[in-house]
Amino acid sequence: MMTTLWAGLTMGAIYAIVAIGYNITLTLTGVINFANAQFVMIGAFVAYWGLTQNDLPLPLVLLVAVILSALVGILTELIAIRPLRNRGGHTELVTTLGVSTVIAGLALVVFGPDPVPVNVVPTETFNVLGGQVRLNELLLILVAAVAALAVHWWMHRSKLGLAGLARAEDPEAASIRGINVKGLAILGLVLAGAFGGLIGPLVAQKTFAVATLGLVLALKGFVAMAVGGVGSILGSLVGGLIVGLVEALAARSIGNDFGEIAVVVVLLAVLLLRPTGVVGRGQVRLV
Amino acid sequence: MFDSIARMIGRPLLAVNRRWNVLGPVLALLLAAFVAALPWLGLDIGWQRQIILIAVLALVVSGLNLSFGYAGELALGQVFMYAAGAYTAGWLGKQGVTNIVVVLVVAIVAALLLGVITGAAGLRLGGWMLALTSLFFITLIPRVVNLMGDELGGFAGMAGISRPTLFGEPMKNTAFYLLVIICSALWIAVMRNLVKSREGTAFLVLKESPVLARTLGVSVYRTKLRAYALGGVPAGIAGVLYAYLDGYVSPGAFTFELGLIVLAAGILGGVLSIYGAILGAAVLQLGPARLSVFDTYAEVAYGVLLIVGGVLLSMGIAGIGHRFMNRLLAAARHDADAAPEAVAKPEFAALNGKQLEVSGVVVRFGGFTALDGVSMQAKPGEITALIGPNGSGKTTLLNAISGLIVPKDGEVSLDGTVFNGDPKLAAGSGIARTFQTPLIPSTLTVHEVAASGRLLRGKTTFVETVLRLPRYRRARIADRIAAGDALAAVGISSLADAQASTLPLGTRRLLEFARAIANEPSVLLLDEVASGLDENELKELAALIRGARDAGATVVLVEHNFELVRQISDHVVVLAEGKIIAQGDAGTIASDERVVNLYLGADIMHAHSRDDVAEGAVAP
Repeated sequence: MMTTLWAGLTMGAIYAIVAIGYNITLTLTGVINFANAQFVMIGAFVAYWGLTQNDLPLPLVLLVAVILSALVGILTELIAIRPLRNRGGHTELVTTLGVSTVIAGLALVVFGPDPVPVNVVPTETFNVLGGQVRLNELLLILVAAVAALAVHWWMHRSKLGLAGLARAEDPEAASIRGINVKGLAILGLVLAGAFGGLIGPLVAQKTFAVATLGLVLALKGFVAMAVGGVGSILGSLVGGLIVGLVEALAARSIGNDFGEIAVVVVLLAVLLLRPTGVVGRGQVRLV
Repeated sequence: MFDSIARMIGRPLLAVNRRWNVLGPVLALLLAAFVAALPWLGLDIGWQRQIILIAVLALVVSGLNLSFGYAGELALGQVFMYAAGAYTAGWLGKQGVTNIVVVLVVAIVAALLLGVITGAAGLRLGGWMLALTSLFFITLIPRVVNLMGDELGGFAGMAGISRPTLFGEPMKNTAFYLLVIICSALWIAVMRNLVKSREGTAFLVLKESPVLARTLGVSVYRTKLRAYALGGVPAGIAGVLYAYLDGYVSPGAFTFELGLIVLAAGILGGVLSIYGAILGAAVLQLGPARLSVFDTYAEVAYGVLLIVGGVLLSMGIAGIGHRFMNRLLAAARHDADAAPEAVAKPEFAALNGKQLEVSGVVVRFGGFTALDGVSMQAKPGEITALIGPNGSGKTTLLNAISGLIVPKDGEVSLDGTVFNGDPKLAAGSGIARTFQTPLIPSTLTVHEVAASGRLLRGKTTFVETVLRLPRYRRARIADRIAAGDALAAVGISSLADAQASTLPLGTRRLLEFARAIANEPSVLLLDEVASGLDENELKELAALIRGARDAGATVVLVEHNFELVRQISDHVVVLAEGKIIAQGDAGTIASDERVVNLYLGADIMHAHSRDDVAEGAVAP
């Protein structure tokens, strides 16, 4: 039972990491970037290339992953988001879905369809609170929690973070106040990209590196964000952990197929009963 | 370029365009007949299969176009309905039901039900929440199928679904091919009749401005739900046809990739079009399926298509065609030279004005009290002007009267009928309005915009609309005449066929006025109609407002231009900070000291010095 809980928390931490990325871009750039989870996949494959195939030192691999994902983030903003500014509608969703598909397709072309293993930290297993858990899993949970707190703190304390919050509230007013909205838009993608790329290798040790990783994480990460509360970084963490736990527990106690179905039930229940999410306050924004 | 082409072929082009309502369907029918006849012209079985696959994909895409292109909600639920149709055919076949008519009817009902159920939850959220939720639903299909156990064949799929029967006879290959073409042609006809009707106009109005839709009496939620559920119908039909094509259904066919393909095909063909779905489906079906090199790069190709389509061709192939034709037609008609004609004495049919009664209305936004117990009347055959500084609650009052805002307290009524916060009832009782910033859906023509004022008038059912039954025809003719008259009354008949998006501000205001008049309103609410107009336009507008009053309407005018107010209004109500501080005829108001101090300022009453004017309360 405890082992299931640890597994659920681990997957939940991964969903939380994707949801945090969504929220960074949503706050700073003002769009939902469907390709967000692909940053994690890029990190995963960079780790496969660097660690598994070429035995490069970990810091170098992480650096490459961060830079590559951030570059992809910049490209995404320039190609798929900037041209649509002020056009309204759901066009960004279509174009970023396109970016996501291109990235997944390229991964498929380069690395093939089969999952490949990645080892970032030693594969040690611990017995914690009566359940089996691996070192990389504990690390993931820790990283997600620390990242959520750090990003939350940065958003509410730093000048740039506050500028982003102001932009999310009212882009026009923010730009009149001298906030560089275009610069923030790029920053939103760069940060989310670097963040996903950095943590991608660790994620891959749990999930393997596979071309479909981005799609699975994109959807679950979205559920985590919606459950926790759109726009709330701490909500992403809580939402992610809830989704991970619900999925693991339902799959274990009711049956394998019920993991995802339980997630949908939770999603619909939260959206209908408490559209601001379990952590979110006030009105639903940007919907 | 447009001018020279237009000069060459302008006349025949305009002639064809005028008759397009008849010519278009005839051409489409001929094309469908030609495609249906292909097997007898020697089309081999492989190509027949390709055409069937194109038709099946086009049906699904067409459903996406209806809900995304026309009603404006991106949701890929069509894949869900497609799967439902396929499994309906498979499951019914297992029970021994193969009669194609029965199966299609059951599948359509199932798709509609599924559309209403999934749409009811998703559409409450709308926007990208709905889009992502629907994507998530697609990934659940294999799980659900597997849970149903042997009934649906699990992950392995259902094999050996026998061919459908017609009059007890199993359909042969050619008969099945014909069936597919006929089903597709029928749906396209239904879709065409649906979007080229009030229903379609309502979708487009809703997509561009929910506020406008509500003031025209369109229920936002129900209309979106209807578009979404109807969009599932062709998907359901497509699912049935797909299941029969190979006699095999498995969850592997209903994947996220299919959602991508449908979206890419829709965007490529143009989501705001009827026939574009066929084009987009054909390109995607023939492209990735037939070129083996494409196979490895298929996902990359779909992705690039979505990006390029989303950024550059937000209108798709069909949309580019439409735009080209519209510019050509505009050049041929000389739209650029057409300008509103001054109407010396506007002629309106008699309007049955009603007494508008506002009593004790309170409106709060959070802690801010926008209207604090406002009571006023507006009488038929009179112009009542509402004036006051910015932020005094004028537009809020108009919103409360048109039902967009539910008052916390108090009542709004028309000849005794109370309709607090019910825009549909307000529109139904004959309240029509214009907006500070004109709300003109850019995808409609000028004539369609004017006719959209009458969306609520004379009920026509879905069936009457799709089959073009007599009652629908009568309503359409009445709409056309009323819209034409309204455009003539404001002097923009010559622009009737132009795209509304091309109009300058002054003409937009006139068009909004025409839309309001087209519904023969009992109460006409005009929100700052004069702002941004030049002197000539102002004069014309004043004549129009007087004309509406003389025709018997109750006119309520929110206006900053006191000169205009003084000239035309019979009664003036002054609002400040959510309360009425004075009312009376224009002369009385102009000399009321409080009003002068608070609002009118020294510009009007030179006797008062500037110092008397309260700081910050001066209207621009």
